[in-house]
Amino acid sequence: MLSIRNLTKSYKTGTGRNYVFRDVSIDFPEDVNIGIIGPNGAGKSTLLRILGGIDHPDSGSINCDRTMSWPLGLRGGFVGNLSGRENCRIVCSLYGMDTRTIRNKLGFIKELSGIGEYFEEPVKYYSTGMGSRVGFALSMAFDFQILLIDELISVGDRNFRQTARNAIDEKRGQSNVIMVSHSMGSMRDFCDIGILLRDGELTVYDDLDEGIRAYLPKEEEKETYDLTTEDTLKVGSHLFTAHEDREATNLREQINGRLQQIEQALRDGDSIHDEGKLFHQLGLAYSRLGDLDQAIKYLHKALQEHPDNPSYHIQMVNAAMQKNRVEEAETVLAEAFKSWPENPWLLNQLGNLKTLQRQTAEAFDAYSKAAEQVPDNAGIRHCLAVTLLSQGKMEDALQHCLKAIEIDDLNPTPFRTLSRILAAQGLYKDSIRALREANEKQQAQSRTLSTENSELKAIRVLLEKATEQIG
Amino acid sequence: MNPASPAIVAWKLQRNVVFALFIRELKARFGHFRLGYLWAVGEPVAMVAVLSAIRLALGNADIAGVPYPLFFASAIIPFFFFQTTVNQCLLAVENNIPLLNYRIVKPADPVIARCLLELFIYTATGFLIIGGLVCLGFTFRWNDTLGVIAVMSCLGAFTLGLSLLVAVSGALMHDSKKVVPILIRPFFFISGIFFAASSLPSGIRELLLWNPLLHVSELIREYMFADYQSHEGSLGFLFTTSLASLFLGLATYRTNRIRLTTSGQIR
Repeated sequence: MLSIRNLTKSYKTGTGRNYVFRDVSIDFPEDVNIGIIGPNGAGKSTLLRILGGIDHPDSGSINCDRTMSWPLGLRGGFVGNLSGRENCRIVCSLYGMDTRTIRNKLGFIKELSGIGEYFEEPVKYYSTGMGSRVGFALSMAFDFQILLIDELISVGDRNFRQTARNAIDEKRGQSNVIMVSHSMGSMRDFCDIGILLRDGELTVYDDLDEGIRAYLPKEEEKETYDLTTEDTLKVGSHLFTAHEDREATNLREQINGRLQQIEQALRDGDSIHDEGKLFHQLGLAYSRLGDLDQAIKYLHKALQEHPDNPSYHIQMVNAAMQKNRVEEAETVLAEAFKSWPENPWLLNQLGNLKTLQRQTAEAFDAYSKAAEQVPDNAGIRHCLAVTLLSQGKMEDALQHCLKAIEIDDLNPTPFRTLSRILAAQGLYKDSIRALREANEKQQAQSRTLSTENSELKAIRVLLEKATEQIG
Repeated sequence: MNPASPAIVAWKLQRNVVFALFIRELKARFGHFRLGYLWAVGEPVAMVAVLSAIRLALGNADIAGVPYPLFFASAIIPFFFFQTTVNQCLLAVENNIPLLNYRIVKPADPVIARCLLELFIYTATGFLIIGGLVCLGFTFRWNDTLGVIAVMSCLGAFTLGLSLLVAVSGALMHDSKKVVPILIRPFFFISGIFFAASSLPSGIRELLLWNPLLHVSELIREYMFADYQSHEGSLGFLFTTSLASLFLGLATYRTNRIRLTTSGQIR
């Protein structure tokens, strides 16, 4: 049982007395981990120090029938010019351990702290994190029933926090923590219930989050996360993801809005400037949204309005192929070739179609013709390389693939093809290097743009253009 | 087995803490280089040498029947013990703030540990220096071991009391860290280190005999050297002043002990 009765604590200030606690009484709940929450200067650390018996209140009493650790804080506890080992030895002998026990405990502390040979160096050379690792490990060498933790764990990296968590869990049933931390993250990691310390009063919240909510307006919570860089990074990426999610939701809503607006306009027979363009853009938007049936429907309508635009044909073919409607694609292509027999993009689509039909020779012809006209297109080059690879013509495939990479060295796909070609030639080392390169490009790509959102943005742009056609 | 009485438990706790702090002080004092131990001996040796050289220049003779280096050494060592201990204890609380983080450590503990440490250091130093002088041919007839122990115990109690007083003042009053060493220094000249009380003119002698440290010098010589007769040194006076000092020190500590571990008071 741990309780406080009529505790009053004040400090003298220039202008008078500042009361940290005024006649406070509380029974600390038993067998739970308690997080003490409160603004800076509310007296959280003072409370821990009073509980730990190293600070004295003006009046009032603390009753405790359990063994309590010293307050595990960032400052204090270690003599700077003695080594971690010597400091720990002193503390162990303060508590009356015999020499053999101390030797064992020192081994345990060194191990748990994970600071290696720094354990033998003077503490004044330690970083805050190392100091807290040793401080925590030292406290774990004792069997305290209540651990008083003042910021100690929250300065550590994730690894240390996990170690600390495990070490405390191992003592579960015997040990509970009373913890002060500015990092709500580590509070949530370690504590079950919250005690809010504000304006000299203590309020118990059976749910830690409830306490945190009572203390922090939502905005502020983000700011108080930032005790360590790692935390910041984590939170940063959380916020980023949250932001991304929010943006994606927004984009989806906008897109749905546009779609409804356009469908409505079409149903109502509103005046439309250029129906073909509208259908085309709508078709592209649906295709990107993955609704290929709708896409084909609208692209088809667009094609009927504007049979004179080769790119409409190309989009149509593309959509049809994606939906595996080979014949429809063939028909459209044949129609288009009547008007533009040499168009490289049409030839490219023809190559794609032939690849889909596993007619590699025809595909190769189509790609080659296309490449003759636009020799500096990485996509076509790459298609050539893939076709040649499937035909087993490694030398040529390699050449085209390298050319494709030369034109656009940011795209990971040609690197993958390169890797396959090299592997087929038995050049495994180079193959692996190419694959590694591909992965790096892939990562670089996913870093620079969040694919989903940029896709959604593109769709939104399409639909905006489409809406412009509505009168 | 009887359950351990609270007094025994308290004694054991106290013993553990003082022992641990003793080791800590030992390490802090001598650090990682062995020369530190030499330094502890060096200062009184140098002082004995200087005083002996002066004495040699003035005319080589025994003082009150004792060879002069022994005469100096016998008083210098206890005085240095007193001086060093008080100066060390002035900062005992401040230097141990990190360890006051552990509730079993009370501000008096480092004071006690420092007193004990200095007592050990200067006992060892005393044996070394006196032994060295004897080897150099300055011989004497040993008188009264119990008497020496009695004087040293009184000096220990006197020093501990004053150390506690000084430790409290050092922790709570910033200025005392400067003032106390200045106050102690003159005692070197009035504590009978390079003179015998009997050689003082009568008016001044009575005045200086209020200084317990003069009694320490007188008595330690009387009990060590069979040839030295002190009519001025009074073990009764030394005992009484030691008790008074101890009482004063403990009372000051007791009335201030809460303040010493209350935030915002130290530093």
